[in-house]
Amino acid sequence: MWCGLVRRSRQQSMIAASSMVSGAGYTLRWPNATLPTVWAHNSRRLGDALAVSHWADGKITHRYSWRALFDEAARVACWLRTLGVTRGQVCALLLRPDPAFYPLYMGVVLAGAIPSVVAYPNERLHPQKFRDGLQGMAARSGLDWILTDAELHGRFADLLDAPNIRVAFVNEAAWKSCRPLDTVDAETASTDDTCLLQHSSGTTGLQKGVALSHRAVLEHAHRYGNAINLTARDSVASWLPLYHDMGLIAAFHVPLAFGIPIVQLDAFAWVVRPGELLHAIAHEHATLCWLPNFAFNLIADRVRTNEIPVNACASLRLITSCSEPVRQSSIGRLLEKLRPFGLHATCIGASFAMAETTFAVTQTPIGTAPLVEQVSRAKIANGSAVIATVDEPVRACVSSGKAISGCDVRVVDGGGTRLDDGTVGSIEVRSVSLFTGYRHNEAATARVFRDGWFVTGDMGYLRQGELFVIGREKDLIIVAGKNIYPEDVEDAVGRVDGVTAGRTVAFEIDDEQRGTGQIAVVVETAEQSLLELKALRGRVARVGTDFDVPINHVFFAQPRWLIKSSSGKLSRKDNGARALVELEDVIWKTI
Amino acid sequence: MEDDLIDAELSRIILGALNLKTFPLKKGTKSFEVPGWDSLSHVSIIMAVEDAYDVRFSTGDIVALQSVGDLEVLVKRAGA
Repeated sequence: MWCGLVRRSRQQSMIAASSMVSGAGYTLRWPNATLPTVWAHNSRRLGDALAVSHWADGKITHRYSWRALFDEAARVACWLRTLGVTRGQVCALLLRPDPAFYPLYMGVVLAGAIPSVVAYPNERLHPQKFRDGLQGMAARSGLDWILTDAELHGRFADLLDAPNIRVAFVNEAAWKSCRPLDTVDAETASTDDTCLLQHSSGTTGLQKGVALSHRAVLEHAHRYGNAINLTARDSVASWLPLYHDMGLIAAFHVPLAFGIPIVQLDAFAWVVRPGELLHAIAHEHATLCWLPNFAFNLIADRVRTNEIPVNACASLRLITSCSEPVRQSSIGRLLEKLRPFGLHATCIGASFAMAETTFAVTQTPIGTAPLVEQVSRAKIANGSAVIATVDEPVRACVSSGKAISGCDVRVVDGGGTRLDDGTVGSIEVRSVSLFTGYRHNEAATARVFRDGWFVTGDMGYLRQGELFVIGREKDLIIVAGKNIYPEDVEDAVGRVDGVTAGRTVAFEIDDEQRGTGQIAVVVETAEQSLLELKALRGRVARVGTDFDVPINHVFFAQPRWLIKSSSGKLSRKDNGARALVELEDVIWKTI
Repeated sequence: MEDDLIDAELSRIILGALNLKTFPLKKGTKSFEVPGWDSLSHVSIIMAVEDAYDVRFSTGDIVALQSVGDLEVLVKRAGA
């Protein structure tokens, strides 16, 4: 079993959490640059070297050199200008995984517009939920353009043809016939201009737009690149969707800025053939990879050993676990699976990251395995991370590493007072690449800032500069790296016939086997017969599948069973804990 | 209708991968209509079917699956 660096004492020297070093004493790689200037420079510098290798169905379907990629992006920019796209307009990119995505995205930036990658609806997503999500995004963020394909337009013409949003079909033939936009023109952006818009995950229009500037993205790329010792010999392999910050920043913008190759797999294909990532890594000699925790389990459990290339991990020097709580067992399973193929414990790292800070706040120091603390389960439940004694039930807490350059982490109590090492509290961060606020949403922005610190909503503790994330203050549910707002689930389930309106809570149940969370709901109902409850169970599960959210556990409760907090709200945490003890869990597998 | 049900052996394999005791799998049944059949369990089902029939499907074929009947066709096409 993998144990990482198990801390049993506190003999290490104290390392200050504060590492904010913006300004004096720190030389930025690209001072006062914008994305177009850096990309243009890389195009000239790297020419015919590999920029992007796009994989689908287990093989390479397209390869861009740096010169070809930038040239095509400059043609896209010209095409967009011809269409009427102007500087500062927001362009939603709604496409299936396709090689055309890369120049299209870059072309939007070169045209001075703001790209925002939106998840393409899969077959499980109910059309109305997709409409709600896109309409909410449009209302909150002010989408000006949707760049998509004819098929999607056919399905959602009524929505996509909204009066204030213009639609353009991606047309490679059209942009290839355009003259590349003059790079001098493209390079006139200011470093503080917004260069991209990311949206927090969500399903019914609750997404918040995170706007980032050229300076934020490039400075973060530089500092994060330093944190992982990134060099020209590196290359990135990724299946991560580009509407997610881990995929967009770590696996796309960072390599684009540094001029290192990107090996990109189709996320839809990866999830049915997770072993393809290993083939791509081996074939392309990739060195860097980012994975959410559930992917560790998926690769460990759902890849046949005899189908793994002998040299699968020979080139890999870092797999970073991010975007989900990091689990010791998941890391151990992946190591056990891939150790015969060259994976070492020190090749695994962890990071605490979020879109609001562009991406990473912390990272495991390179060349070391993530630190693991076996703390007392009883004591940490009371807010104190104390190393467990031999006979005590333990909770394995995995460190997400130390604050990277330009970032600062603190753990505070409810009043904002900084807590001592080992005391659990609210995690707040500062970063030189921090966003300035949610687009067109001052109220939401005000809620997440305290004295210049970003309130992450996560709970954890610090020890000698290492950050241990142990849970969430907010009730966000994470399933397979996907953020799900419980409000979305409750809203949908609450409208099911037979469920008492407004009397549903959704919460997360740990799924150790998959290495991720599962969704559970407690619903109040007046139904009593087993037959009626079975039918109701089916209706509840069905609304989850309507927006691609699997509801794995259903608890039925009699009317007025759910308790409210002092503020008059149904407490998800308390009711979830009660349900696990007092109610019979009606899970699908017992049908 | 009974005629719409998929092959009993294939049904047994799918339900086994999902830990479901019973569920009527018809040719037109879509994955999201089956309890527990989500994107993560999809790969478990495919592996179970491939192992049982000693076949390997292409990634493209798997991604293109729209219904349980499509999977049945894929199995037959593979000569199983």
